Amino acid sequence: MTEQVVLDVRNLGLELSLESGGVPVVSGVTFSVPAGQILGVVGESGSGKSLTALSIGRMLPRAATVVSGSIHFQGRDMLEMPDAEVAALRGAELGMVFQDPLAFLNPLMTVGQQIREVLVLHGMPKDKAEVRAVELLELVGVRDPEKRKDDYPHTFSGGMRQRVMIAIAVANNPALLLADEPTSALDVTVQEGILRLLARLRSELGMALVLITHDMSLVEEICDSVMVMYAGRVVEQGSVRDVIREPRHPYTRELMRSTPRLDRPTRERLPAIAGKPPDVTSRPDGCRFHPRCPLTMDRCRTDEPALVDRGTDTPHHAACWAAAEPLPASTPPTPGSSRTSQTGSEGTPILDVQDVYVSYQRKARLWRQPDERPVVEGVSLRAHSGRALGLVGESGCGKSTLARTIVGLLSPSSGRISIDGLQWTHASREERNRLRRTVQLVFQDPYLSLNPRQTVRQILTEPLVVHGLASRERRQSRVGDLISHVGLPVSLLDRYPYQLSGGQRQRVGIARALAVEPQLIVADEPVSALDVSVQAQIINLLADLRDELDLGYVVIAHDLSVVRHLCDEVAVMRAGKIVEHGPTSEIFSAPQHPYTLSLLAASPGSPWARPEPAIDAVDEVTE
Amino acid sequence: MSTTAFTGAESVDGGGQAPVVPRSRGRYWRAVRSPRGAIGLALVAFVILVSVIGPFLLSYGPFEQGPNSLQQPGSDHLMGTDEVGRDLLARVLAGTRVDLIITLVAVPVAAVIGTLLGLVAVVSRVADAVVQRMFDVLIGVPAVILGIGVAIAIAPGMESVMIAIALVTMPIFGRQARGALLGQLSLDYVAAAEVLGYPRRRIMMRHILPNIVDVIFVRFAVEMAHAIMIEGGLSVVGLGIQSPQPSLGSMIKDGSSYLFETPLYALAPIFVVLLLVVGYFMVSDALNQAVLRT
Repeated sequence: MTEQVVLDVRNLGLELSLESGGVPVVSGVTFSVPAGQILGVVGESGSGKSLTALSIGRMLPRAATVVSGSIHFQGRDMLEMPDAEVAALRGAELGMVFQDPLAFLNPLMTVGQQIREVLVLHGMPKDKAEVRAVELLELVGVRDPEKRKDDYPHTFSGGMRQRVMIAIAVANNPALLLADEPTSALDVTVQEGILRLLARLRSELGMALVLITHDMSLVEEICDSVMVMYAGRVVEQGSVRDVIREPRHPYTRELMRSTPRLDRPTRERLPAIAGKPPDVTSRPDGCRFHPRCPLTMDRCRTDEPALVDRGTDTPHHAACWAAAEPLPASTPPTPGSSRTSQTGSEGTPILDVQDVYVSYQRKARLWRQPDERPVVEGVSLRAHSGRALGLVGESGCGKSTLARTIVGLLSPSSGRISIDGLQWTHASREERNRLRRTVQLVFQDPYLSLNPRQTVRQILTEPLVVHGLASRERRQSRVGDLISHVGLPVSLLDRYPYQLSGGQRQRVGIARALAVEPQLIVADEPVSALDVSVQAQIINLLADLRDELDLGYVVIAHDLSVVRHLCDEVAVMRAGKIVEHGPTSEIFSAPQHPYTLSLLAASPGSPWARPEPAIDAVDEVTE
Repeated sequence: MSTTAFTGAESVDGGGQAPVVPRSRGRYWRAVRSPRGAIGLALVAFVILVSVIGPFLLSYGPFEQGPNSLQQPGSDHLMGTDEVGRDLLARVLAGTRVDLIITLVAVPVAAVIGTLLGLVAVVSRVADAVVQRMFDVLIGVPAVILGIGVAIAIAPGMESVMIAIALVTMPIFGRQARGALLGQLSLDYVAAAEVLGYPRRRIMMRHILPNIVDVIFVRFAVEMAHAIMIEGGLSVVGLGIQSPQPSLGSMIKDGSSYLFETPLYALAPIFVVLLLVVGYFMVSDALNQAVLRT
């Protein structure tokens, strides 16, 4: 290959110093990025992908150090370079974009000032920088840049802030842009825009891009090559075409299979990867994926496989003993996966939401008129036992507010919510207790929804005690039932939440909700805070519980593909209103509302044409 | 938690940021074992031990007057005598005991009352507003002025100093508790408890309170040091512990008149105050590290 290599990393090893001593976190990472190419680095938490990226700009946290290997950026050795020179590179030839733009933008400086600062610091005269700042805002698609440059970061939306951060990163025409999860905090349609912007900048400015993500479908969409990391090791590496079409490592394949996608049948049981990604301190011997791998052989437990080229014509590396031959085609779907049999059943109605309005009120203060901000405007819904209703919308559309209103944490300003014939608003004390037992909430963030001071046993016992659901003697056996119902071993009962992984915590949260034997469960983004390989497990668990216990679900998600696997009906919500509502298959096969269509188009694996043409056809902003 | 270095960088796929700090039963033990915590605790323990055991080893009581005033340190009086011939060492130890008793009564009382008043914030808006304005007033008045007020209202002495210290530190605990409480209220585990139909008082006492005691403990150590200094301040204006009862503050005040004749008269109590204040601050710092940040 003759392209100029911008970044060349060889055999990189990183170590993390913990109380117990140095622990290797990343080892043997080798890759290079030619100019104008996009490399995707994929991995879950603890894979070391972010540390790898940070080490390129010599921005590792203090606890981490490079212990082996080399990093050459434009032919220069980054590890030998004096600090001052590295600092001069950052923001000039090396641009960086992070996940949370608000944390990286200075709240006391206007965005214009922040862009000018990076230009002036790298040697541009002030008056020129002024003009260039406006150009850059325009380049990244901020409307009305002349005016917006004098605004402060908090006045921009999440997506726009990310664009501003990209403008700062590319201000000095960098040779390489490092983007660490640049879209993970954003809505799907916004994510789409940012990705397109990055791809466009790549072709316009000819820069190389390293995109770090946990999402295989992003890689599929815009990357040229991909590197899959697991527990500090590269497990597979090659061109996107090769890796996606013919993954050689079981982890890559399982990861792709367990991701909910639009091009799979609805209500299909997701093939889940068992277990969870290992901690830095407890990585298994041999191949690090072997405890979770369907193809484990004896050898995998003891010997660590090297990264070997298995490509036919283009390089395609995989670190797997079983990868000598192409992997067997996906295993047939597990029996019992077709739940379509019962989609015909209607179930008994359990939740009836009629024309509900919810608004947040601000009290009058000295110089402020009292005002009311409507969040949910006239929503009507029904949910049935044994069936799942998906409620989909982007952040700020009011879906979480609606969820909290249904479970009685908020009260509607008008409209009627009746659950099993009872209403929060006119409930006697006794009826409220019954309502509490009828409907339960499963939260998005399993880290915040469990009391950190209680053991799992205490968490699960308390609802039984408060509602008098089991006699003293029967309580412990009931707690044991609950925890095994959600697929956790009884041995976890005496742990504190911080001793559990994200997926385990979410299971405890579900068990806690089941403790009061509810008929309806409202799940607010139940999987969006979890690792990709764990999401499928939780989705399957929710589906199993629904069928077993004849539960009704309201599943809230920003992501259509999650809802597709779990729900019988879907309601699409936008700006406080339901814009489309129907059976899942209809919504996905024949969406009526343009907003539904744009959500669908922005989802991974979408068969829908994007409303706007291809990536390189520059959108409205460059004119 | 061993992967803390990761959580910042990989928060989304790592399961969301976790502002809820891992808490184990051993967290106080960890504070004690850290160098800072161990030294701080040792300093405080040393002062307490010496002030309790010391008197049994001395041949003079703190109130016994001898023939020689302002005597230099010697084999008879290890630190010399004061202006009426009392043994200085015995008086420093007695003064230390007085200070310890005052602070160990006043500060815990203030902590409990202050915390409970802070928790009123969730009970009712009106009660919260009343309590907060009361705190504003207490915080607004300087400690010494407050002490003067109390001393005038009831006779100056141990009780008035205790009340003054309690009044000064109570709103600090109240504010701290209220802030921590409001922070916890927005967390999902509280919403979960509500959805599960737990009674409000149970949520408050069983769920929220245990999650804010750490903050109160850290503050407690700081306020112990603060209280020692308040006692000193009140003594300097003559409204602290009244003669002949010694206290660290009153000895510093009396001794400062004889700084050149018998420097230990003032310096010894100053040194004890220093040991206690530094000790308490180190303990609070270690607690803060081990318990709140991790």
